[in-house]
Amino acid sequence: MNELHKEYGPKGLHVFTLYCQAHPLAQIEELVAKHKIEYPIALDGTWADNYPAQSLPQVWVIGVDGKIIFKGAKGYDEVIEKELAKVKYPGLGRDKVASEVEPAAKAFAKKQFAEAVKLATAVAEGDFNETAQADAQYILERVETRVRALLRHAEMAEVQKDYATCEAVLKLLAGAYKGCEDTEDAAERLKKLAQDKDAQKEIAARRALLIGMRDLDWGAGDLDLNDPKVMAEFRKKCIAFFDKLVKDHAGTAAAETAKGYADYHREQLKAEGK
Amino acid sequence: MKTLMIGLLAALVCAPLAAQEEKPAEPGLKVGDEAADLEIGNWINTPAVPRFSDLRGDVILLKSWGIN
Repeated sequence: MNELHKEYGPKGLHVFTLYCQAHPLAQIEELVAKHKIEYPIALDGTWADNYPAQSLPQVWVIGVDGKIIFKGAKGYDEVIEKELAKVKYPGLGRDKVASEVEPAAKAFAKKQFAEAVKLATAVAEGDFNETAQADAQYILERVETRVRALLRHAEMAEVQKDYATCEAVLKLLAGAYKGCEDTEDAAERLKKLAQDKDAQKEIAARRALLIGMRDLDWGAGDLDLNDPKVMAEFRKKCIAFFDKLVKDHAGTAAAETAKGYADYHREQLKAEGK
Repeated sequence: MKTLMIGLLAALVCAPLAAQEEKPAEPGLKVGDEAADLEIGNWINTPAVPRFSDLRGDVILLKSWGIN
């Protein structure tokens, strides 16, 4: 996967993985460090309805038109290579532009967005034919749309106190999009985020919650939770963990989440007569 | 194989794994279907891109996996 990510990433392949087992976070992070994995690994979420894995590994390939073109365990390399052949300018969303706009499209494909804007602006405002100007305008709008979407994504993540996402988006805006309109303060925001004590407190709380939940999940794998007594003990263990997190990380969104979980288990224990 | 319960843990707050396994298997999306976005709580190597639809025109590889 790392090889695919590195070799085909610049050609327009985006790798996402869903971690589908209940191992403790430390064990997964050790694996990530050992293999220097750089692609995103989802640890939890609600993907099972659309992307269920009856066995592992399971692969889906999504083509340039946004539709699933492969589902299975083997043979996806060839499908990817064939589909990537359709991608001339990664990220651009089209494979043809007027020859005058090709340098801008190539810069876009290399994620040199400020350069792409500069080159496209020269065509859009210059003495060129309508097709070239329309294509140049397309690139300008593509960059603008992406920047707007990323800024919105960063703001949403900040409101939700999902600082890891906020940081990832700001890094992209301050890096590949540096020099583009509306990205001027991304680097400063990133710096402030790193120094923001509340944000760091939230990151620590969120991580503690994730570690604890994965540990509970790992431990539950060996339990017969259909046995009411075992289930009651498991719920008590969950309550103890969530209560401790609420105390240790008071004032954070993660603590609020933990409180909700603890309350839920208390209600269930009561309902189950325990 | 210990399958992941944490998504369910977050959604249903530690509901039994057995209950999840007893549910009829969801077939999920098939070849030819429009890809659906992911709703993810936590990532390692958090991506900056918000939605699959933002990657239209490129190719996406999505893989479910585990250590063993």
